[in-house]
Amino acid sequence: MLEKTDLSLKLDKATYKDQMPELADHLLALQRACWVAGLPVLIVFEGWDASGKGTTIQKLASSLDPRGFKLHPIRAPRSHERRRPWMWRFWQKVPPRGEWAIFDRSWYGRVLVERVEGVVPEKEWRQAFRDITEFERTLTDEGYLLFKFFLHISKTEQKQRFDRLARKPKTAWQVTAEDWEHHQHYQDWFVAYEEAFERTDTEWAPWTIIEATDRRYTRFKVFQTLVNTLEQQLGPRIVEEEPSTIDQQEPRGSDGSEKQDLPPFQSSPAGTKLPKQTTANQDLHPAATVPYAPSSSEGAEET
Amino acid sequence: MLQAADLTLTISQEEYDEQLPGLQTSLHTLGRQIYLKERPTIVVLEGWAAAGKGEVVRRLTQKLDPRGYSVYAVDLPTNEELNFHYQYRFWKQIPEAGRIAIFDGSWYRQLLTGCVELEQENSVCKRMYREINHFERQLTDFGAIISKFWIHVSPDEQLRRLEVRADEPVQNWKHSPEDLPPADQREAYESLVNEFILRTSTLGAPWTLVPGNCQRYTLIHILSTLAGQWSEALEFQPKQKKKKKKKK
Repeated sequence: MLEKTDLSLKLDKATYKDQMPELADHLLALQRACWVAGLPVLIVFEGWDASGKGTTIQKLASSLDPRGFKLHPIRAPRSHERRRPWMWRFWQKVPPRGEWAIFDRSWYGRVLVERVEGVVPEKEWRQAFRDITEFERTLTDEGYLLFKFFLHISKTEQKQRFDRLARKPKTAWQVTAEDWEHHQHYQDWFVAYEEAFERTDTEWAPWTIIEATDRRYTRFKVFQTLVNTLEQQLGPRIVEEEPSTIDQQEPRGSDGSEKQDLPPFQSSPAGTKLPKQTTANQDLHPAATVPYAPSSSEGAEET
Repeated sequence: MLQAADLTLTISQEEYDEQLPGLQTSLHTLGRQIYLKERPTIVVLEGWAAAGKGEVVRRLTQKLDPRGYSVYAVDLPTNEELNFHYQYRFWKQIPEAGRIAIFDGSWYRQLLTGCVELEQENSVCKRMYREINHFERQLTDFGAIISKFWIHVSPDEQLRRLEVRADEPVQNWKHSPEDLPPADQREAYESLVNEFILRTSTLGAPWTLVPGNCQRYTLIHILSTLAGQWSEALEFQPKQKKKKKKKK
Protein backbone atom coordinates (compact mmCIF):
# COMPACT_ATOMS: atom_id res chain seq x y z
CA MET A 1 0.00 0.00 0.00
CA LEU A 2 2.77 2.41 0.86
CA GLU A 3 4.74 1.88 -2.31
CA LYS A 4 1.94 3.21 -4.45
CA THR A 5 1.71 6.54 -2.66
CA ASP A 6 2.82 9.65 -4.47
CA LEU A 7 4.87 11.56 -1.97
CA SER A 8 5.24 14.58 -4.21
CA LEU A 9 1.67 15.74 -3.69
CA LYS A 10 1.39 19.35 -2.53
CA LEU A 11 -1.14 22.02 -1.89
CA ASP A 12 -0.24 25.63 -2.65
CA LYS A 13 -0.61 28.29 -0.02
CA ALA A 14 -3.30 30.24 -1.84
CA THR A 15 -5.70 27.32 -2.20
CA TYR A 16 -5.05 26.29 1.37
CA LYS A 17 -5.76 29.78 2.72
CA ASP A 18 -8.84 29.96 0.58
CA GLN A 19 -10.46 26.64 1.38
CA MET A 20 -9.21 25.58 4.77
CA PRO A 21 -11.18 27.96 7.05
CA GLU A 22 -14.44 26.93 5.46
CA LEU A 23 -13.52 23.29 5.73
CA ALA A 24 -12.66 23.71 9.40
CA ASP A 25 -15.99 25.43 10.09
CA HIS A 26 -17.80 22.67 8.32
CA LEU A 27 -16.00 20.10 10.43
CA LEU A 28 -17.08 21.89 13.57
CA ALA A 29 -20.68 21.82 12.41
CA LEU A 30 -20.35 18.10 11.75
CA GLN A 31 -18.93 17.55 15.20
CA ARG A 32 -22.01 19.21 16.68
CA ALA A 33 -24.20 17.09 14.46
CA CYS A 34 -22.50 13.99 15.84
CA TRP A 35 -23.40 15.10 19.32
CA VAL A 36 -27.02 15.58 18.37
CA ALA A 37 -27.19 12.26 16.55
CA GLY A 38 -25.31 10.37 19.26
CA LEU A 39 -22.70 9.22 16.76
CA PRO A 40 -19.36 8.30 18.38
CA VAL A 41 -16.17 8.74 16.40
CA LEU A 42 -12.64 7.43 16.85
CA ILE A 43 -9.77 8.98 14.92
CA VAL A 44 -6.43 7.20 14.95
CA PHE A 45 -3.20 8.85 13.85
CA GLU A 46 -0.18 6.74 13.08
CA GLY A 47 2.90 7.70 11.12
CA TRP A 48 6.64 8.02 10.99
CA ASP A 49 8.53 10.09 13.53
CA ALA A 50 8.53 13.71 12.34
CA SER A 51 5.74 13.03 9.85
CA GLY A 52 3.62 15.77 11.36
CA LYS A 53 1.19 13.82 13.53
CA GLY A 54 1.53 16.26 16.38
CA THR A 55 0.96 19.40 14.33
CA THR A 56 -1.91 17.87 12.37
CA ILE A 57 -3.63 16.83 15.59
CA GLN A 58 -3.06 20.32 16.96
CA LYS A 59 -4.74 21.80 13.92
CA LEU A 60 -7.61 19.35 14.24
CA ALA A 61 -8.06 19.94 17.96
CA SER A 62 -8.05 23.70 17.57
CA SER A 63 -10.83 23.48 14.98
CA LEU A 64 -13.12 21.36 17.16
CA ASP A 65 -15.29 22.08 20.17
CA PRO A 66 -13.13 20.84 23.08
CA ARG A 67 -16.13 19.61 25.04
CA GLY A 68 -16.84 17.09 22.33
CA PHE A 69 -13.58 15.22 22.07
CA LYS A 70 -10.82 13.70 24.13
CA LEU A 71 -7.26 13.39 22.95
CA HIS A 72 -5.35 10.28 24.01
CA PRO A 73 -1.60 10.27 23.52
CA ILE A 74 -0.58 6.63 23.56
CA ARG A 75 2.89 5.56 24.58
CA ALA A 76 4.35 2.40 26.11
CA PRO A 77 1.97 0.65 28.53
CA ARG A 78 2.39 1.61 32.15
CA SER A 79 2.77 -0.96 34.90
CA HIS A 80 -0.91 -1.11 35.87
CA GLU A 81 -1.81 -1.44 32.21
CA ARG A 82 0.49 -4.43 31.86
CA ARG A 83 -1.48 -6.23 34.53
CA ARG A 84 -4.45 -6.62 32.23
CA PRO A 85 -5.03 -7.84 28.69
CA TRP A 86 -3.22 -5.54 26.27
CA MET A 87 -6.39 -4.08 24.78
CA TRP A 88 -7.82 -3.15 28.17
CA ARG A 89 -6.23 0.29 28.19
CA PHE A 90 -7.84 1.10 24.85
CA TRP A 91 -11.29 -0.01 25.93
CA GLN A 92 -10.99 2.54 28.74
CA LYS A 93 -10.69 5.23 26.10
CA VAL A 94 -13.57 4.26 23.87
CA PRO A 95 -15.85 7.30 23.78
CA PRO A 96 -19.52 7.47 24.76
CA ARG A 97 -22.06 8.13 22.03
CA GLY A 98 -21.87 11.56 20.48
CA GLU A 99 -18.26 12.16 21.43
CA TRP A 100 -15.01 11.89 19.56
CA ALA A 101 -11.79 10.26 20.68
CA ILE A 102 -8.55 11.17 18.93
CA PHE A 103 -5.57 8.88 19.33
CA ASP A 104 -2.00 10.09 18.87
CA ARG A 105 -0.59 6.61 18.25
CA SER A 106 -2.88 3.76 19.18
CA TRP A 107 -3.37 0.05 19.59
CA TYR A 108 -1.31 -0.34 16.44
CA GLY A 109 1.74 0.17 18.61
CA ARG A 110 1.49 -3.50 19.45
CA VAL A 111 2.21 -4.52 15.85
CA LEU A 112 4.50 -1.59 15.07
CA VAL A 113 6.87 -0.30 17.73
CA GLU A 114 6.51 -3.37 19.95
CA ARG A 115 7.19 -5.62 16.98
CA VAL A 116 10.17 -3.76 15.52
CA GLU A 117 11.83 -3.27 18.88
CA GLY A 118 11.20 -6.89 19.88
CA VAL A 119 9.31 -5.97 23.03
CA VAL A 120 6.70 -8.69 22.52
CA PRO A 121 7.27 -12.18 21.14
CA GLU A 122 6.17 -12.87 17.57
CA LYS A 123 3.28 -15.08 18.62
CA GLU A 124 1.72 -12.22 20.53
CA TRP A 125 2.00 -9.54 17.90
CA ARG A 126 0.66 -11.93 15.28
CA GLN A 127 -2.32 -12.61 17.55
CA ALA A 128 -2.73 -8.88 17.86
CA PHE A 129 -3.81 -8.47 14.22
CA ARG A 130 -6.84 -10.58 14.93
CA ASP A 131 -7.50 -8.82 18.22
CA ILE A 132 -7.34 -5.46 16.44
CA THR A 133 -9.69 -6.34 13.60
CA GLU A 134 -12.18 -7.84 16.03
CA PHE A 135 -11.98 -4.81 18.31
CA GLU A 136 -12.62 -2.46 15.39
CA ARG A 137 -15.43 -4.62 14.13
CA THR A 138 -17.07 -4.74 17.57
CA LEU A 139 -17.07 -0.97 17.61
CA THR A 140 -18.24 -0.37 14.07
CA ASP A 141 -20.99 -2.99 14.39
CA GLU A 142 -22.31 -0.97 17.28
CA GLY A 143 -22.37 2.21 15.20
CA TYR A 144 -18.98 3.77 15.95
CA LEU A 145 -17.22 5.58 13.15
CA LEU A 146 -13.53 4.80 12.89
CA PHE A 147 -10.92 6.77 10.97
CA LYS A 148 -7.38 5.53 10.63
CA PHE A 149 -4.80 7.91 9.22
CA PHE A 150 -1.24 7.04 8.39
CA LEU A 151 1.10 9.95 7.71
CA HIS A 152 3.71 8.74 5.25
CA ILE A 153 7.03 10.36 4.43
CA SER A 154 10.11 9.05 2.66
CA LYS A 155 13.37 8.23 4.37
CA THR A 156 15.04 11.28 2.83
CA GLU A 157 12.25 13.56 3.95
CA GLN A 158 12.48 12.16 7.47
CA LYS A 159 16.20 12.87 7.59
CA GLN A 160 15.65 16.41 6.32
CA ARG A 161 13.07 17.02 9.00
CA PHE A 162 15.23 15.63 11.75
CA ASP A 163 18.08 17.86 10.61
CA ARG A 164 15.86 20.91 10.51
CA LEU A 165 14.49 20.22 13.97
CA ALA A 166 17.88 19.43 15.45
CA ARG A 167 19.39 22.67 14.15
CA LYS A 168 17.16 25.00 16.20
CA PRO A 169 17.52 24.86 19.98
CA LYS A 170 13.78 25.48 20.29
CA THR A 171 12.90 22.24 18.56
CA ALA A 172 16.01 20.15 19.10
CA TRP A 173 14.46 18.27 22.02
CA GLN A 174 12.03 16.61 19.63
CA VAL A 175 14.74 14.57 17.95
CA THR A 176 16.12 11.91 20.27
CA ALA A 177 18.76 9.24 19.82
CA GLU A 178 15.92 6.76 19.61
CA ASP A 179 14.48 8.62 16.62
CA TRP A 180 17.80 8.45 14.81
CA GLU A 181 17.94 4.74 15.49
CA HIS A 182 14.47 4.28 14.07
CA HIS A 183 15.64 6.22 11.03
CA GLN A 184 18.51 3.76 10.53
CA HIS A 185 15.97 0.95 10.55
CA TYR A 186 13.51 2.67 8.24
CA GLN A 187 13.21 -0.47 6.16
CA ASP A 188 12.23 -2.66 9.11
CA TRP A 189 9.57 -0.17 10.02
CA PHE A 190 8.39 -0.06 6.41
CA VAL A 191 7.89 -3.83 6.46
CA ALA A 192 5.99 -3.62 9.74
CA TYR A 193 3.72 -0.86 8.43
CA GLU A 194 3.02 -2.69 5.21
CA GLU A 195 2.03 -5.85 7.03
CA ALA A 196 -0.14 -3.94 9.47
CA PHE A 197 -2.04 -2.29 6.65
CA GLU A 198 -2.41 -5.50 4.76
CA ARG A 199 -3.91 -7.26 7.74
CA THR A 200 -6.02 -4.53 9.25
CA ASP A 201 -7.33 -2.67 6.23
CA THR A 202 -10.88 -3.95 6.45
CA GLU A 203 -14.20 -3.00 4.99
CA TRP A 204 -15.44 -1.69 8.30
CA ALA A 205 -12.25 0.19 9.17
CA PRO A 206 -10.14 1.13 6.15
CA TRP A 207 -6.81 2.90 6.36
CA THR A 208 -6.32 6.32 4.80
CA ILE A 209 -2.72 6.89 3.75
CA ILE A 210 -1.87 10.57 3.84
CA GLU A 211 1.04 11.73 1.67
CA ALA A 212 2.59 13.84 4.36
CA THR A 213 5.51 15.51 2.60
CA ASP A 214 3.64 18.81 2.34
CA ARG A 215 2.12 19.90 5.62
CA ARG A 216 -0.71 21.88 4.03
CA TYR A 217 -1.70 18.96 1.90
CA THR A 218 -1.63 16.70 4.98
CA ARG A 219 -4.01 18.82 6.97
CA PHE A 220 -6.28 19.44 4.05
CA LYS A 221 -6.58 15.78 3.20
CA VAL A 222 -7.27 14.80 6.81
CA PHE A 223 -10.02 17.38 7.14
CA GLN A 224 -11.43 16.54 3.74
CA THR A 225 -11.64 12.82 4.57
CA LEU A 226 -13.34 13.50 7.88
CA VAL A 227 -15.83 15.91 6.35
CA ASN A 228 -16.72 13.66 3.43
CA THR A 229 -17.32 10.56 5.52
CA LEU A 230 -19.22 12.39 8.24
CA GLU A 231 -21.47 14.07 5.70
CA GLN A 232 -22.18 10.70 4.20
CA GLN A 233 -23.06 9.21 7.58
CA LEU A 234 -25.03 12.08 8.98
CA GLY A 235 -26.77 13.17 5.79
CA PRO A 236 -29.21 16.03 6.25
CA ARG A 237 -28.81 16.19 10.02
CA ILE A 238 -25.96 18.67 9.80
CA VAL A 239 -26.71 21.68 11.94
CA GLU A 240 -25.23 24.85 10.43
CA GLU A 241 -25.74 27.07 13.39
CA GLU A 242 -24.46 29.58 15.90
CA PRO A 243 -22.34 28.28 18.78
CA SER A 244 -25.07 28.83 21.36
CA THR A 245 -27.46 26.28 19.93
CA ILE A 246 -25.90 23.32 21.70
CA ASP A 247 -26.73 24.81 25.12
CA GLN A 248 -30.38 25.08 24.25
CA GLN A 249 -30.74 21.41 23.51
CA GLU A 250 -32.26 18.96 25.99
CA PRO A 251 -29.71 17.14 28.13
CA ARG A 252 -29.44 13.63 26.83
CA GLY A 253 -30.94 10.82 28.85
CA SER A 254 -31.75 12.94 31.91
CA ASP A 255 -35.35 11.82 31.94
CA GLY A 256 -34.52 8.33 30.78
CA SER A 257 -35.98 8.97 27.35
CA GLU A 258 -34.44 7.67 24.16
CA LYS A 259 -32.16 9.92 22.21
CA GLN A 260 -33.36 10.97 18.79
CA ASP A 261 -33.19 8.32 16.13
CA LEU A 262 -31.56 5.71 18.31
CA PRO A 263 -33.13 2.28 18.76
CA PRO A 264 -32.43 0.22 21.94
CA PHE A 265 -28.80 0.24 22.93
CA GLN A 266 -28.05 -3.27 21.72
CA SER A 267 -28.26 -2.51 18.04
CA SER A 268 -26.66 0.11 15.88
CA PRO A 269 -28.15 3.58 15.57
CA ALA A 270 -30.34 3.75 12.47
CA GLY A 271 -28.74 5.41 9.51
CA THR A 272 -25.34 5.76 11.12
CA LYS A 273 -23.84 2.38 10.34
CA LEU A 274 -21.00 1.71 8.01
CA PRO A 275 -21.71 -0.86 5.29
CA LYS A 276 -22.72 -3.97 7.16
CA GLN A 277 -20.16 -6.68 7.36
CA THR A 278 -21.82 -9.97 6.48
CA THR A 279 -20.41 -13.15 7.92
CA ALA A 280 -20.05 -14.55 4.41
CA ASN A 281 -17.53 -11.93 3.32
CA GLN A 282 -14.54 -13.80 1.98
CA ASP A 283 -12.66 -10.87 0.48
CA LEU A 284 -10.68 -10.08 3.57
CA HIS A 285 -7.14 -11.18 4.18
CA PRO A 286 -7.31 -14.56 5.97
CA ALA A 287 -5.80 -13.18 9.12
CA ALA A 288 -8.33 -10.42 9.24
CA THR A 289 -11.38 -12.66 9.22
CA VAL A 290 -12.76 -14.09 12.41
CA PRO A 291 -11.47 -17.60 12.97
CA TYR A 292 -14.95 -19.09 13.36
CA ALA A 293 -16.41 -20.56 10.24
CA PRO A 294 -19.11 -18.25 8.92
CA SER A 295 -21.46 -21.23 8.63
CA SER A 296 -23.52 -22.59 11.45
CA SER A 297 -20.70 -24.72 12.78
CA GLU A 298 -19.75 -22.08 15.35
CA GLY A 299 -19.31 -23.77 18.62
CA ALA A 300 -16.57 -25.10 20.87
CA GLU A 301 -13.33 -23.52 19.81
CA GLU A 302 -9.95 -25.13 19.87
CA THR A 303 -7.57 -22.77 21.55
CA MET B 1 -28.98 -28.96 26.64
CA LEU B 2 -30.70 -27.61 29.71
CA GLN B 3 -32.74 -30.78 29.77
CA ALA B 4 -29.54 -32.70 30.44
CA ALA B 5 -29.32 -31.21 33.90
CA ASP B 6 -30.52 -33.74 36.43
CA LEU B 7 -32.62 -31.65 38.73
CA THR B 8 -33.23 -34.51 41.13
CA LEU B 9 -29.66 -34.52 42.40
CA THR B 10 -29.53 -33.68 46.07
CA ILE B 11 -27.09 -33.87 48.91
CA SER B 12 -27.86 -34.46 52.54
CA GLN B 13 -27.26 -31.92 55.26
CA GLU B 14 -24.54 -34.09 56.85
CA GLU B 15 -22.62 -34.51 53.63
CA TYR B 16 -22.95 -30.82 52.96
CA ASP B 17 -21.70 -29.90 56.42
CA GLU B 18 -18.80 -32.27 55.95
CA GLN B 19 -17.71 -31.09 52.52
CA LEU B 20 -18.28 -27.37 52.65
CA PRO B 21 -15.47 -26.32 55.04
CA GLY B 22 -12.90 -28.39 53.11
CA LEU B 23 -13.93 -26.84 49.84
CA GLN B 24 -13.88 -23.34 51.20
CA THR B 25 -10.40 -23.87 52.59
CA SER B 26 -9.18 -25.27 49.28
CA LEU B 27 -10.52 -22.20 47.55
CA HIS B 28 -8.70 -20.00 50.02
CA THR B 29 -5.43 -21.78 49.30
CA LEU B 30 -6.01 -21.61 45.57
CA GLY B 31 -6.87 -17.92 45.96
CA ARG B 32 -3.44 -17.38 47.40
CA GLN B 33 -1.89 -19.20 44.43
CA ILE B 34 -3.86 -16.95 42.09
CA TYR B 35 -2.26 -13.98 43.78
CA LEU B 36 1.22 -15.46 43.73
CA LYS B 37 1.03 -16.60 40.12
CA GLU B 38 -0.56 -13.34 39.05
CA ARG B 39 -3.46 -14.83 37.13
CA PRO B 40 -6.61 -12.76 36.71
CA THR B 41 -9.59 -14.93 37.57
CA ILE B 42 -13.19 -14.50 36.60
CA VAL B 43 -16.22 -16.37 37.92
CA VAL B 44 -19.50 -15.79 36.12
CA LEU B 45 -22.75 -16.82 37.79
CA GLU B 46 -25.83 -16.82 35.65
CA GLY B 47 -29.17 -18.52 35.99
CA TRP B 48 -32.85 -17.97 36.27
CA ALA B 49 -34.27 -15.56 38.80
CA ALA B 50 -34.26 -17.10 42.29
CA ALA B 51 -31.73 -19.71 41.22
CA GLY B 52 -29.61 -19.00 44.26
CA LYS B 53 -26.74 -16.99 42.79
CA GLY B 54 -26.57 -14.72 45.80
CA GLU B 55 -26.07 -17.62 48.17
CA VAL B 56 -23.33 -19.04 45.97
CA VAL B 57 -21.47 -15.76 46.02
CA ARG B 58 -21.73 -15.65 49.77
CA ARG B 59 -20.43 -19.15 50.35
CA LEU B 60 -17.76 -18.80 47.73
CA THR B 61 -16.32 -15.67 49.24
CA GLN B 62 -16.81 -16.60 52.88
CA LYS B 63 -13.31 -17.96 53.37
CA LEU B 64 -11.51 -16.11 50.56
CA ASP B 65 -9.08 -13.38 51.46
CA PRO B 66 -11.24 -10.25 51.17
CA ARG B 67 -8.38 -8.25 49.73
CA GLY B 68 -8.15 -10.58 46.76
CA TYR B 69 -11.56 -10.46 45.18
CA SER B 70 -14.29 -8.11 43.99
CA VAL B 71 -17.91 -8.94 43.41
CA TYR B 72 -19.87 -7.20 40.70
CA ALA B 73 -23.62 -7.48 40.76
CA VAL B 74 -24.88 -6.49 37.37
CA ASP B 75 -27.78 -4.15 37.27
CA LEU B 76 -29.66 -2.74 34.34
CA PRO B 77 -27.29 -0.28 32.68
CA THR B 78 -27.67 3.23 33.98
CA ASN B 79 -28.31 6.13 31.64
CA GLU B 80 -24.66 7.02 31.78
CA GLU B 81 -23.60 3.50 30.89
CA LEU B 82 -26.05 3.40 28.00
CA ASN B 83 -24.04 6.12 26.34
CA PHE B 84 -21.11 3.77 26.05
CA HIS B 85 -20.60 0.57 24.13
CA TYR B 86 -22.25 -2.34 25.95
CA GLN B 87 -18.91 -4.07 26.53
CA TYR B 88 -17.32 -0.96 28.00
CA ARG B 89 -18.55 -1.44 31.55
CA PHE B 90 -17.31 -5.02 31.63
CA TRP B 91 -13.92 -4.05 30.32
CA LYS B 92 -13.75 -1.64 33.20
CA GLN B 93 -14.41 -4.45 35.69
CA ILE B 94 -11.85 -6.90 34.34
CA PRO B 95 -9.64 -7.89 37.27
CA GLU B 96 -5.98 -7.14 37.18
CA ALA B 97 -3.43 -9.94 37.28
CA GLY B 98 -3.71 -11.80 40.58
CA ARG B 99 -7.23 -10.74 41.52
CA ILE B 100 -10.55 -12.51 41.37
CA ALA B 101 -13.71 -10.93 39.96
CA ILE B 102 -17.02 -12.61 40.66
CA PHE B 103 -19.88 -11.59 38.46
CA ASP B 104 -23.37 -12.06 39.85
CA GLY B 105 -24.86 -11.46 36.43
CA SER B 106 -22.59 -10.55 33.55
CA TRP B 107 -22.31 -9.69 29.87
CA TYR B 108 -24.53 -12.68 29.22
CA ARG B 109 -27.41 -10.71 30.65
CA GLN B 110 -27.12 -8.55 27.56
CA LEU B 111 -27.77 -11.61 25.41
CA LEU B 112 -30.79 -12.60 27.45
CA THR B 113 -32.47 -9.24 27.27
CA GLY B 114 -31.29 -8.39 23.80
CA CYS B 115 -31.86 -11.55 21.83
CA VAL B 116 -35.29 -12.62 22.89
CA GLU B 117 -36.90 -9.26 22.39
CA LEU B 118 -35.22 -8.75 19.04
CA GLU B 119 -36.21 -12.19 17.86
CA GLN B 120 -36.12 -11.30 14.21
CA GLU B 121 -32.61 -9.93 14.41
CA ASN B 122 -30.61 -13.10 14.57
CA SER B 123 -27.64 -11.35 13.12
CA VAL B 124 -27.46 -9.32 16.31
CA CYS B 125 -27.26 -12.50 18.37
CA LYS B 126 -24.61 -14.03 16.14
CA ARG B 127 -22.61 -10.87 16.40
CA MET B 128 -22.90 -10.98 20.17
CA TYR B 129 -21.74 -14.60 20.37
CA ARG B 130 -18.75 -13.70 18.27
CA GLU B 131 -18.00 -10.61 20.31
CA ILE B 132 -18.34 -12.46 23.60
CA ASN B 133 -16.13 -15.30 22.41
CA HIS B 134 -13.56 -12.83 21.27
CA PHE B 135 -13.76 -10.87 24.51
CA GLU B 136 -13.20 -14.03 26.53
CA ARG B 137 -10.40 -15.17 24.25
CA GLN B 138 -8.54 -11.93 24.77
CA LEU B 139 -8.80 -12.59 28.49
CA THR B 140 -7.61 -16.20 28.29
CA ASP B 141 -4.78 -15.20 25.93
CA PHE B 142 -3.61 -12.92 28.68
CA GLY B 143 -3.77 -15.79 31.17
CA ALA B 144 -7.15 -15.30 32.80
CA ILE B 145 -8.96 -18.27 34.33
CA ILE B 146 -12.62 -18.04 33.43
CA SER B 147 -15.35 -20.24 34.96
CA LYS B 148 -18.97 -19.81 33.99
CA PHE B 149 -21.93 -21.37 35.72
CA TRP B 150 -25.55 -21.55 34.67
CA ILE B 151 -27.78 -22.50 37.57
CA HIS B 152 -30.81 -24.29 36.30
CA VAL B 153 -33.97 -24.65 38.36
CA SER B 154 -37.23 -26.23 37.35
CA PRO B 155 -40.14 -23.84 36.69
CA ASP B 156 -42.07 -25.11 39.73
CA GLU B 157 -39.17 -24.64 42.07
CA GLN B 158 -38.57 -21.18 40.67
CA LEU B 159 -42.16 -20.15 41.29
CA ARG B 160 -42.08 -21.58 44.78
CA ARG B 161 -38.95 -19.64 45.64
CA LEU B 162 -40.26 -16.41 44.19
CA GLU B 163 -43.34 -16.75 46.36
CA VAL B 164 -41.22 -17.24 49.44
CA ARG B 165 -39.04 -14.34 48.40
CA ALA B 166 -41.99 -12.04 47.98
CA ASP B 167 -42.34 -12.12 51.75
CA GLU B 168 -38.66 -11.33 52.32
CA PRO B 169 -37.59 -8.53 49.98
CA VAL B 170 -34.21 -8.18 51.72
CA GLN B 171 -32.92 -11.19 49.81
CA ASN B 172 -32.66 -9.17 46.62
CA TRP B 173 -29.34 -7.43 46.78
CA LYS B 174 -28.92 -4.42 44.61
CA HIS B 175 -31.02 -5.61 41.71
CA SER B 176 -34.51 -6.90 41.23
CA PRO B 177 -35.17 -9.98 39.10
CA GLU B 178 -36.69 -7.71 36.47
CA ASP B 179 -33.71 -8.03 34.25
CA LEU B 180 -33.96 -11.80 34.30
CA PRO B 181 -36.48 -13.83 32.35
CA PRO B 182 -39.80 -13.87 34.22
CA ALA B 183 -40.93 -17.27 35.45
CA ASP B 184 -43.88 -17.49 33.09
CA GLN B 185 -41.79 -16.89 29.96
CA ARG B 186 -39.35 -19.68 30.60
CA GLU B 187 -39.88 -21.58 27.38
CA ALA B 188 -39.02 -18.69 25.12
CA TYR B 189 -35.80 -18.13 26.99
CA GLU B 190 -34.81 -21.75 27.39
CA SER B 191 -33.94 -22.23 23.75
CA LEU B 192 -31.97 -19.00 23.84
CA VAL B 193 -30.04 -20.18 26.88
CA ASN B 194 -29.36 -23.54 25.26
CA GLU B 195 -28.03 -21.75 22.22
CA PHE B 196 -25.71 -19.41 23.94
CA ILE B 197 -24.30 -21.99 26.31
CA LEU B 198 -23.43 -24.08 23.28
CA ARG B 199 -22.02 -21.18 21.31
CA THR B 200 -19.94 -19.57 23.98
CA SER B 201 -18.52 -22.58 25.78
CA THR B 202 -14.86 -22.76 24.82
CA LEU B 203 -11.85 -24.66 26.13
CA GLY B 204 -10.54 -21.61 27.86
CA ALA B 205 -13.88 -20.44 29.18
CA PRO B 206 -16.22 -23.39 29.66
CA TRP B 207 -19.79 -23.29 30.87
CA THR B 208 -20.86 -25.59 33.66
CA LEU B 209 -24.52 -26.42 33.89
CA VAL B 210 -25.51 -26.73 37.54
CA PRO B 211 -28.73 -28.38 38.73
CA GLY B 212 -30.19 -25.83 41.08
CA ASN B 213 -33.22 -27.41 42.68
CA CYS B 214 -31.35 -28.48 45.78
CA GLN B 215 -29.45 -25.48 47.11
CA ARG B 216 -26.94 -27.55 49.02
CA TYR B 217 -26.13 -29.55 45.94
CA THR B 218 -25.72 -26.38 43.89
CA LEU B 219 -23.25 -24.96 46.36
CA ILE B 220 -21.15 -28.09 46.68
CA HIS B 221 -21.17 -28.65 42.94
CA ILE B 222 -20.10 -25.11 42.10
CA LEU B 223 -17.43 -24.88 44.76
CA SER B 224 -15.92 -28.24 43.90
CA THR B 225 -15.98 -27.53 40.13
CA LEU B 226 -14.35 -24.19 40.76
CA ALA B 227 -11.68 -25.71 42.98
CA GLY B 228 -11.02 -28.30 40.27
CA GLN B 229 -10.77 -25.73 37.48
CA TRP B 230 -8.52 -23.42 39.47
CA SER B 231 -6.19 -26.16 40.61
CA GLU B 232 -5.90 -27.46 37.04
CA ALA B 233 -5.18 -24.01 35.65
CA LEU B 234 -2.67 -23.17 38.36
CA GLU B 235 -1.17 -26.68 38.38
CA PHE B 236 -1.45 -26.74 42.13
CA GLN B 237 -3.19 -29.25 44.33
CA PRO B 238 -4.26 -27.93 47.72
CA LYS B 239 -3.52 -30.40 50.49
CA GLN B 240 -6.55 -32.18 51.81
CA LYS B 241 -6.71 -32.37 55.57
CA LYS B 242 -7.13 -35.93 56.69
CA LYS B 243 -10.39 -36.29 58.53
CA LYS B 244 -9.89 -37.24 62.11
CA LYS B 245 -11.70 -40.43 62.86
CA LYS B 246 -14.07 -40.06 65.77
CA LYS B 247 -13.05 -42.25 68.62
CA LYS B 248 -15.76 -44.65 69.49
